[in-house]
Amino acid sequence: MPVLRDAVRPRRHLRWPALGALALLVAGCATDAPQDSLDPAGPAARTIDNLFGPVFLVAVAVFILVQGLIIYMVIRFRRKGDEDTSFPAQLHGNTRLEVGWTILPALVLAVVAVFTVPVIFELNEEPENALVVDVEGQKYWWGYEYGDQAMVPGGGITTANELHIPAGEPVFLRLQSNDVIHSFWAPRLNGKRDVVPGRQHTWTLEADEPGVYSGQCAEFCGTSHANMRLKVVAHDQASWDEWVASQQAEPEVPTEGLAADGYEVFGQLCASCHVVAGQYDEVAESSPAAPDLTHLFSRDCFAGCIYDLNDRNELEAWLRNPQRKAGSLMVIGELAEAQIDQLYAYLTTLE
Amino acid sequence: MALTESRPLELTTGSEVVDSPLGAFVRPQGSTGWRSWVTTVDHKKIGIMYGATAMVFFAIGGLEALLIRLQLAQPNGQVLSLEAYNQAFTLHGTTMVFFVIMPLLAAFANYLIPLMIGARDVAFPRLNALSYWIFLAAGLFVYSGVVLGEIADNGWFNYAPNSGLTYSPGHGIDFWVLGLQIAGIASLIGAVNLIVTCLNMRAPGMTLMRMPIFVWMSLVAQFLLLFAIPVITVALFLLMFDRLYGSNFFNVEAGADPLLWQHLFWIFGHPEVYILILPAFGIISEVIPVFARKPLFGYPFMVFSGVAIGFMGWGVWAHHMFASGIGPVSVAAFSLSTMFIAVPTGVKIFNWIGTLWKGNLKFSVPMLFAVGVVSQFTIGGLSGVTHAVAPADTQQTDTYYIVAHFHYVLFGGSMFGIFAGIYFWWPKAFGRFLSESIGKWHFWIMFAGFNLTFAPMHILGLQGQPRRTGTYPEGMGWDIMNLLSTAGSFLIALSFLVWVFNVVRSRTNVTNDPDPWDGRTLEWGTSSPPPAHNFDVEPTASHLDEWWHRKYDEDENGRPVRRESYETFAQPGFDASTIHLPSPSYWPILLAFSLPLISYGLIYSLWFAAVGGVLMIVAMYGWGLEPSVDPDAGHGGHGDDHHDDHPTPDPTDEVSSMSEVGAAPVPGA
Repeated sequence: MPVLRDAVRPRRHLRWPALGALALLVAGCATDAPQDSLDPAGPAARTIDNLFGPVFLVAVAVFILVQGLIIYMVIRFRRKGDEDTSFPAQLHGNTRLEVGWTILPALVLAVVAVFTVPVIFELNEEPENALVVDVEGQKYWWGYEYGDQAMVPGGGITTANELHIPAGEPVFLRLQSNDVIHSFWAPRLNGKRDVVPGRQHTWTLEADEPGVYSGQCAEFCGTSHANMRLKVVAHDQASWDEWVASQQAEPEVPTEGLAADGYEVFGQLCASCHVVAGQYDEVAESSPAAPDLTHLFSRDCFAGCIYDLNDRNELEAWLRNPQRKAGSLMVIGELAEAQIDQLYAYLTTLE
Repeated sequence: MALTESRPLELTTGSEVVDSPLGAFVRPQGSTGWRSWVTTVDHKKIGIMYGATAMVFFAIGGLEALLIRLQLAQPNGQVLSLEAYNQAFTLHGTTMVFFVIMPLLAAFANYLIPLMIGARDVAFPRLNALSYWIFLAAGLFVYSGVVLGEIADNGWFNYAPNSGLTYSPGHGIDFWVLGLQIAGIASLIGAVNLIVTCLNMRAPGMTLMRMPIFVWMSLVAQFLLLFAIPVITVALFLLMFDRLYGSNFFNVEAGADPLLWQHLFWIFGHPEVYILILPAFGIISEVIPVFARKPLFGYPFMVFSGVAIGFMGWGVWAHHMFASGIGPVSVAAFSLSTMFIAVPTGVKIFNWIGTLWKGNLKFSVPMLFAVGVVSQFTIGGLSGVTHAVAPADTQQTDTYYIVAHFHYVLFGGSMFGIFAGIYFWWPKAFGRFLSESIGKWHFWIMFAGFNLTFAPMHILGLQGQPRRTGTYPEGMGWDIMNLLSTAGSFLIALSFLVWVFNVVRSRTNVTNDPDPWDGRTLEWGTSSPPPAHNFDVEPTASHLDEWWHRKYDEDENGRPVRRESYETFAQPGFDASTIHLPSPSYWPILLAFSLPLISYGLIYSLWFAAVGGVLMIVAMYGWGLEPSVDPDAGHGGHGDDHHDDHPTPDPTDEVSSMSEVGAAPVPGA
C-alpha cells in the first residue's frame, strides 16, 4: 500500500504534543474514505500515487530538517534573561552556504522533474483497444453514451450518473460539457480532467478489480456543484456482458395497473425532456439535457447520484419537489399523490 | 461619508481619536478632527487608514469563514443553503485577497517606505490619498451589493462561462467585476507611486543595495502589481462587456474558448500570490535580525531571490490549470517552472535560519510571529512543490489540499507576517506598546487555531474532498477532520478578539522610547510617533542598516560597541514651519467616490453614471487646478504649483527631488 502511509506511521509512537497532533491527522488517513486518492484502485491512480509518495517523503525530510532547526534554535539560542543584550558574532552571510543551498534544492528538484515529466506524457496517451465512452457533463449530473464497438456490440447505450466499465480494461473517456466547465474525477482510478464546453477532452480510466468507485465533479459549476456526484461501477467479464445486454434491451410498455397510468402521466409531464427508448424517443428541442430513463431502475442512485434509488421515499420526495436539490433544472409542477404513485409504478418497470 | 471613515479608525486607536492625541493622529499644521483624515495626504495617516480599514474587512472575511466552517462541521450541513454557501466562499476569498492582505501590505508600504528610505513623504502624496479612497470605495461598493442582496457566487476566480449572463443572471457578478476593477485602479496608482518613491526619494547615500529589505520586497511587489493589474483588468473588462453589452468574449455558443478567462486570470493570479507574500517576507526579514541581535544573513541573496521570484512568478501561472486539458507539453513546461521557483523561496528560508543561527534570540511577540512564518510558510511551500508534480496535482487541484496549501502561504505566511509587523511597528506608529503578555496569548491561540483549522485540510483533500462544495454525505471519512477544522477556526476568531482587546488596552501603554527594540533602520531614529515631516534632521545613509551603524561602532573582533553619543533625526524644539509639506486636499476622496457611482450606473441606471461622471470630471479639474501649495497658508511656496506633485527626477541630486515634494508650505503655520 501507499508509500506515504508506511512512511509516516512511525510518528504515531512519538509523544511530543506537536507530533501528537500530526499522528491524529495520520490516524485520520486510516479511516475508510471511498474517495481516497492515496488508495489507488487502477493503474493511472497508482502511477500518480507512486510519484507522489517519494516526493512527499522528500517534502517530509525538508519539513523535519527546517522545523527541527527552528526548534533547536529556539531552545539553544533563546536569550537567557531579558537583560542580556550581548551580541553574538555579527555574521553577514556566507557565499559558499548560499551557493550550496541554491544548488542542492535545485538538484533535488531536478531529480523530481526527471521522474515527473515522463509520467505527464504517459498519462496523456490514448490507450489501445480501449472501451470508448462519451461523457457529457451538465448542471448537475453526468451522462454516458456507449457507441458500437468490440466491447459493446451494437452500441446504443445511454445512461447517467453511474459509469459502468469492465474491470481490468482501459476505458477512454471523451469528455464534453453541455453548459459550463465541470471536472470528471474518480480519485481511486485517476486524477481529474476538466470538461470544457466547446472542447472535447479525453481521459483514461481503468479499475483493477470489479467494484464501485466514488467520484464527483471537481470544478465549481454552480449552485449544486456539491451535488454533482458519480459512481464508476466496474464489472467482471460475465456481469459486463450481462449489463450490456440488459441496457440494450428495450423495456416493455406496461399495459395495466398503476404502471399503465404512470406511462400516460410520464407522457404528459416528463417525456418532453426524458427519453425512454422505444416508448418516448423524441424530446422537445428546447428542453435542457435530462437523464435517459430507459433503464432507470438498473441504477442505484439518481439526481447527480446523491439520492438512493432503492429508497422509494427519496424518489417520491424528488417528484414532489425537484428543488430539494438546489438549482435542479427539472420542472414538473405540483403532482397529485395519485400521480406520484402512478409515476413510481411506471418508473420501476424501466429496469 | 464621515461615518464610514471614522469606524475603521476606531479599531486601531480605541474609541477616541481627538481627545487623547496619538501623535500621528495630530497634524501639527492642521485641524485634528475627521476632516484632517478625509483630506490628508500624509503617508503615515494614509497607511494607518489602510490598515484600520483592512482590519475591519478582516473581521468581515473572518465571519464569512466561520459560516463556511459551520456549514462543513458535519455532513449534510444545514447552516447555509447552497446558494448562501457559494456566496460565502466567494466573498471570503475576494475579501481576504483584495480587501485585507493587499491593503494591509499597502498600509505597511505606505507607512514605512518613506520613513525607511529617509523621505518626507511618498513621491505623489495626493495620488496616495486617491489610492486609499479608491480602495475603500471598491470595498464599500462590493459590500453594498451584499446589502442589496446582489452577491457573486462563482468563487474568487470566477471561471467563465459560469460567470456569464446565461448562468449568473443576477447582479452579483456585476458588483464583483466592477468592484475589482475599482480596486485595481487603487493598486495600480499605489504601485506607480511607491515605485517612483523607492527609486527617486531615497536619502542621500542610500544606494539600492543599502535599502532595507522590506523596502526591496515591497518594491518587487509593486512592480508585480504594475504588470499584473492590467492583465486582470483586461479580463474583467471583457467579462463586463460580455455581461453588459453581449460582446461574446466568453460565450461558447458564439465560438469562444472559456480557457481564455483562466489564462488571463492566472497570469494575474499567480504574480498576485507573490504580491501577497513578498512584503510579508520583507517584514519578517526586518524583525528577525532585531530580535536575534544579528544582521540579516545574506542580504544580497535575500534581495536577489526576491527579485528572482518576481521574474519567475510570471512563468508559472498554468500550474493552476494542470487539469484543464492544456496538453502535456504545456503541463510539463509549467510543472518544471513551478518546481524551480521553489529554489529562490528556499534560499529565503535558509537565510532566515542563518540569521537565527547562534543569535541572541529574544521571543517578543513580533519575533514569535516572524518565526511562526518561517515554520508555517515552509509547510505551504513544501505542499506547493507537491502541486508542481503535475500528475499528483491532478489529484490535488480543487480539493481541500489546495485550500490547506494556500492558507499556509497566505495566513501562515502573509497574515502572521503582518501581525509580526503590527506588533513591531505599533510603538513607532502610535507611541504605545501592544502588551507583550496579551500578545503572547494572541500568538499562541492563533498558532494553535491556525494549524488546527488548516492542517486537517491536507488530509481531507487527499481523501478526496473537493473545495467549494457546501455539503458532503456521510460515509466519506471526512467527518472528524472537518469537525477539527471548524473548531480551529473558532480559535482563530478568539485570537483575533484577543488582538482587538490588546489594541484597546494599548491606549494606556505609553512609551517615550523612540527605539524600544534597538532597531536597525532609519524609522527608529525619529520620534514615536514620527512628526508629519518624518525627520527633523534629513537622514543620510552610508551603510545598510544605517541607524544601527549610527548607534554602534565595531571593536577589533567585529563586535558592536555602543557609541557614547550619536545623532538622532529628532531634535527637541525643532521648528517644523521651515519644512514644506503638501497641503491636504478634498479632491482625492471626491474623485474616488465617483467610481462606484459610475458603476451603479452601469448596473442600474445610467443616470447614476452621469452624476458620477460629472463628479469625476469636476474632481479631476479641481485637482488639476488646485495648487498643492496652499497660497493662503503662508510661506509663498516654491512657485510652480502645477508640477509639484510630479517632482522632476534628477539623478545627480536626490535631495532636490525630495525638497520638491516638500514644496508646499505648512498649512496654518
